[in-house]
Amino acid sequence: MVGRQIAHEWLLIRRSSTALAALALMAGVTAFALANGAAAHREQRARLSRIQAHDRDLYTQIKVELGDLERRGDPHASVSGGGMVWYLLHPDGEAPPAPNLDPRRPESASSEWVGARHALLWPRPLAWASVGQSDLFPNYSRVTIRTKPMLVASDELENPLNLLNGRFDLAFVVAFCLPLLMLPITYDLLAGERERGTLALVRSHPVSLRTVLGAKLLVCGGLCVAAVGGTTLVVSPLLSGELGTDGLGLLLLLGVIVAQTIFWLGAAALANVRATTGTRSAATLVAAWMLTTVIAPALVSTAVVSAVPVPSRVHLIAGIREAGNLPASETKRVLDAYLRNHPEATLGADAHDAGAIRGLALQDETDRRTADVRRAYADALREREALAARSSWVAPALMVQDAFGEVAGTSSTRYRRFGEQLEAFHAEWRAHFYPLVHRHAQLTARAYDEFPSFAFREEAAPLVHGRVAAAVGVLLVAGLTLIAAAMRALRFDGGGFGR
Amino acid sequence: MWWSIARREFTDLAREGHVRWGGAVLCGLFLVALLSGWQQQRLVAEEHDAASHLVRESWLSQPPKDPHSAAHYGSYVFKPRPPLTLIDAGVSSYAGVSVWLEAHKQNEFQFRPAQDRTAASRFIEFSVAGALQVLVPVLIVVLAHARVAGERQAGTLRQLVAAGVPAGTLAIGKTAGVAMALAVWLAPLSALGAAALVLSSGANAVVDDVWRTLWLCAAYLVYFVVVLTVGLGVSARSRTPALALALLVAWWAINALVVPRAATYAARAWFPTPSAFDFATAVHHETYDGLTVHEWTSRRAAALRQSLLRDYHVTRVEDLPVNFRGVDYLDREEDTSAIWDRHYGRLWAAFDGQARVHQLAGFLAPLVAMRSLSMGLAGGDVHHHRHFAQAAEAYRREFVQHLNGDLAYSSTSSELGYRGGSELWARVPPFVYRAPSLTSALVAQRESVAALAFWLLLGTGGLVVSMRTLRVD
Repeated sequence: MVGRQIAHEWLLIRRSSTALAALALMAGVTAFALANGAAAHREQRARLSRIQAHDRDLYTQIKVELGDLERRGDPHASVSGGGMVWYLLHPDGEAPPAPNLDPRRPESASSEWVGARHALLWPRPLAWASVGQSDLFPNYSRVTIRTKPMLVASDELENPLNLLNGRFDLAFVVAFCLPLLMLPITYDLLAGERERGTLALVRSHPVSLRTVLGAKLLVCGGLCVAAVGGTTLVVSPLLSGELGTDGLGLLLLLGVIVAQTIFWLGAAALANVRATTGTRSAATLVAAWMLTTVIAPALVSTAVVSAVPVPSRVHLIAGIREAGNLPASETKRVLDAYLRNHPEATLGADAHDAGAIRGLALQDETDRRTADVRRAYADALREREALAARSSWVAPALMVQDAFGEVAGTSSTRYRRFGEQLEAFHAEWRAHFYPLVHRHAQLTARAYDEFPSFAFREEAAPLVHGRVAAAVGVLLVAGLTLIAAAMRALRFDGGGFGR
Repeated sequence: MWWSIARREFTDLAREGHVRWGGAVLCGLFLVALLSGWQQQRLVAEEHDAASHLVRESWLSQPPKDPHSAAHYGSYVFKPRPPLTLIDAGVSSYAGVSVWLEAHKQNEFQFRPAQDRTAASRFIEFSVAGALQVLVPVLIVVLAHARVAGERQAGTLRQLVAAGVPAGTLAIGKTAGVAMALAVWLAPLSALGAAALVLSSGANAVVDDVWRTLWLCAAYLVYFVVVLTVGLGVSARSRTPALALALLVAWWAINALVVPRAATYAARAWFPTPSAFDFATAVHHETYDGLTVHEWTSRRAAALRQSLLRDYHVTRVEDLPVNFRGVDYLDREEDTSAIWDRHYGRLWAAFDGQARVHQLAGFLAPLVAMRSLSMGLAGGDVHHHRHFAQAAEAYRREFVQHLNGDLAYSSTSSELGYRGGSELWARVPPFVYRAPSLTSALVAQRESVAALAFWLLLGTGGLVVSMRTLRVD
């Protein structure tokens, strides 16, 4: 009986131009979103590849220069000025590199002038599924020996209007568009029958309304999943060839698509059972969509921002400005304290050596003056993220977006981890070079092979997959609960259809 | 006769429970958005004032130092938020709030507020403008979708037409009736918005912006009329209210969700922009002409020595009556400024092209046109951001060259330890910014204005045609 009902529903949908158009549109926007996401993914990988090649070529060039400089001998010189003074006070054509450009000096080798290298956050294989936060946060940073506030000092160049509007990716289609595209197929599953006066005819057949509704839900749900999930499965092998594979991640994405479909089928079932007309059913579904997809996320965002304020940027800038504005007496005090705390450090043979030590001392002083603000800022962001994660259960769209972001590796969580590991790498970079600066070591080509390099450590896959599976579970349970409520209403009072 | 129709429509709508609920929810959300926006505006204004004061104090309290060191110590400027950004903050969350002004470099803006928020804020910016552009049309759709289609379904449309009501009268009456129902909710909200504007920015600031405020009100009025006429037109053409609702919801979804993101795709495809790395690399290559920094500086020093010794008829650098470092910095700043202008010129041109694409998308979706125009009038669009960025850069070049000039001509090349003091720092004026004029803002948004006018013609024309060709069953 169920099989016959399903066949009947399939026949009805095949003959409904509205339903076919909605399904075709679902497949079409999914394909467009996948292409868009893949293009963004390719663009990112190409950019990071260029940066990686640049760093490689830079070190090759430095090593060649080091070979030339070895013939010159000691990098220390009697000229005390830097910049143009250095070059002008050397005889014509014989100037070695100025101290800040000399690759033999560790303070220069570790700076933006010579050998600073980039820390890269490579996109994950399924990044084509969701642009997420990858357009807002930088996925590379040049690490130098400089102060911490300089660490991630610039953002990616992107038109703020594009950032405001967001991208057309698969996460957007599943979170926003899928429920609306399902509306033409699901808004009058039963309410339309009553409105058209054909309900009596349906009830005269030896089949319960629950079976009828169940068959409609199965067919509609299967077709929607086929349109979105099927298109994803067909297109993803074309993308995965060059962009890597993550089978379990893909399975989880399909799980999110299925769970989102079931949730909105449940909402449609309940709306159809309770509404007396197709119009009311449609209006109820639209209102539910507005509430859960537009209003709830906006309220969650506003509530989180209000509940957890971040420290004012003014305090950060104040700390930087103060540290850069020290009078001579205060600079001397800072330097003396630094030398006391680092007995291995010496002021060296010339003014440039002493300047290098003074630079480290002042950098540390800037970091000390801004430490509290930076720590408070990081704590506030962590707290906001945790509060947002706890609140995302109120809105299916938030859960879908977060799940996609986790699988694609474009979530705020991953970028926060990048920021934390970047800071740790910065400490490692400094820990490598500070002792070399303290003893005014002369670097060779071999030393450049021993410089620390950054490798992002991904969060353990079970943790990421666990969060996504939890979101899928919640959506599934919510959807099945809604369907169960609709079936129960039909069982006990006919859902008003017996009246 | 149109007044009778309008009164009847208003009475019907006032009696519908879902309309009252919808209006109440809209009011609640509007109030939350207004309070949130007011709090944010107040915080930003306080921060801006404190920051500007701090930066100026730290500048003036510099100890005696080399003027070029002071040029590297530099300054920060903070982008102000005009009063009307309480209504529409535009791209403010994504554009960076401050920029470090220093010698040799034109830095990018830092601290995008959106980076401090959660991913949920990327859905829809929850602001007064968001409520007006996105939620009010939903209320209008709920009010309007059954006005004609519902009468057709109930059989009363046949009687109305049989009574000989002219199509134009019917159109005006129904439009006015729904507009009155809408005004019940929007009028007090508008008054609240105006009060919030005055409270947050002061009456003087609002008076200065009165023309922008009036244009903004007029634009939103036109936008609501567009949505209303389209809603009634679709209702007139649809067999059933359910179909009308479905079509209007689809149209709204395309407006609010699909077209803006599709426009982003088109904008980036037709006017690509470089990454920050590629931009910096291109500037570096042009500055150093393929040489290493050492080679470039070495050659520049040789050329500088030759020209200065020749111009001043001396044989040693130490005998120059000017400071060669200062002369070099003046020269170099001019050269690098030209390079920055070329590269930033191309970047801004690409951003302009992208903005044009977004505005032209307004011909496909009135919400997109309204969004662009609203942020433009409020002072929160890319045009205003660019204006501020260019003003900040002009200030940077002025104060850096002032300091370089002092080094070049107030000392000689033998004075390696020349220091500027508080008098020099005080001669650098504080940064004062004047926002672009209303004319400039409207010119930058000309496509959006045209798109909105297009939709007004389409909506009203479509409604009149629909009423004239009305089917009664």
